[in-house]
Amino acid sequence: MRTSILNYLIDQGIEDLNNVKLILVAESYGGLVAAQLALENNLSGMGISIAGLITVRTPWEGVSLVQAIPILASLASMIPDAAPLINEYSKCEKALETLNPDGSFIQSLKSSDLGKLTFPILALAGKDLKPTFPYGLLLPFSGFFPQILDPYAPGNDGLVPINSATAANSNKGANFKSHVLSDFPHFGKTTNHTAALGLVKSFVEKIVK
Amino acid sequence: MMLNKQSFKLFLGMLTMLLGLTGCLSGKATVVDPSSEVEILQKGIDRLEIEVPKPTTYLIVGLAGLTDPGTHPADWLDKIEKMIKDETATSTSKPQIHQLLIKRSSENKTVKEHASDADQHTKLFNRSRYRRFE
Repeated sequence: MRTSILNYLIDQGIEDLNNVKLILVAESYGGLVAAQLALENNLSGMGISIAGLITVRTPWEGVSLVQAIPILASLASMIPDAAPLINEYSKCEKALETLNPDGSFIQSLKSSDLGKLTFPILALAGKDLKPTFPYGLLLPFSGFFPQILDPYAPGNDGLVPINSATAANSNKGANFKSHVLSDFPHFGKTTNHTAALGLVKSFVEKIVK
Repeated sequence: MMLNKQSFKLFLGMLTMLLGLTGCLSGKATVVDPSSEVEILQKGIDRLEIEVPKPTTYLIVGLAGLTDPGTHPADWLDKIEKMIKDETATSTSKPQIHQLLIKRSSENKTVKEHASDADQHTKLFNRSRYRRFE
């Protein structure tokens, strides 16, 4: 699988790297990868510039649910609908460290100066997810692990809290805009795709004009 | 009388020189070819036109999430590419559009390692190779 941006450009025969502009479209965790790329500023040394970043339900400030993954994994067999998702997550130990709101990566990202990024950022968040599996079964355990219910708190998308998806408590600049979309859950079929694409369209228009 | 003749010749000589000089000057002023001025201006404009930026290459990069390996960015890449093409359809410097989807390659990676996947030039793209494009 081709994973290198630069190798891709070479393969395409694009020799004038100074005229290459990236528009990054990142889903969820991919947005953290994009933020890492932008903040490390490795691309500018190659003459490539980032023209814009669109993050879709990206946990800029982490996901508290990951702190409850150990207990969720042990309960997974009791909740058939949730088992595939929880098992998937429990395999991603290092990534879960990254997503932990109290972990070093998220803390570093929150304290970093996003305002120094010169390109525009559009953060799309979802809210008011309708549960697709019986999360109420977890209520008895929520006293010990309150994070279990966080994804379903009002204003969350089913995984990422709205404040996290909009980087509400981060050190943002004027280039960072966010929009909260109804009916835009983290998992399952997105019904508000049209509204999201409308926002992306106007964002891209400003970049290319 | 001789002196007067000589003075007259000297006067005529000076007058001729003066007229010639005036003629040259006025002649130079009158021989200006408007077309050459236009040509000079045109060359200037041409030079300006050379400085118009080259078409930009936009590379739309989709970065997939952790649990959904790429379907969402993949869905949107084509739409965004079409948007850019539509928006710049009448532009004189049409951008080239490319798109690349970076999928999750391993479940057990930190964001740092994913970023490294996405931007392998730090490891793979050494200076000598980059010189090809300088």
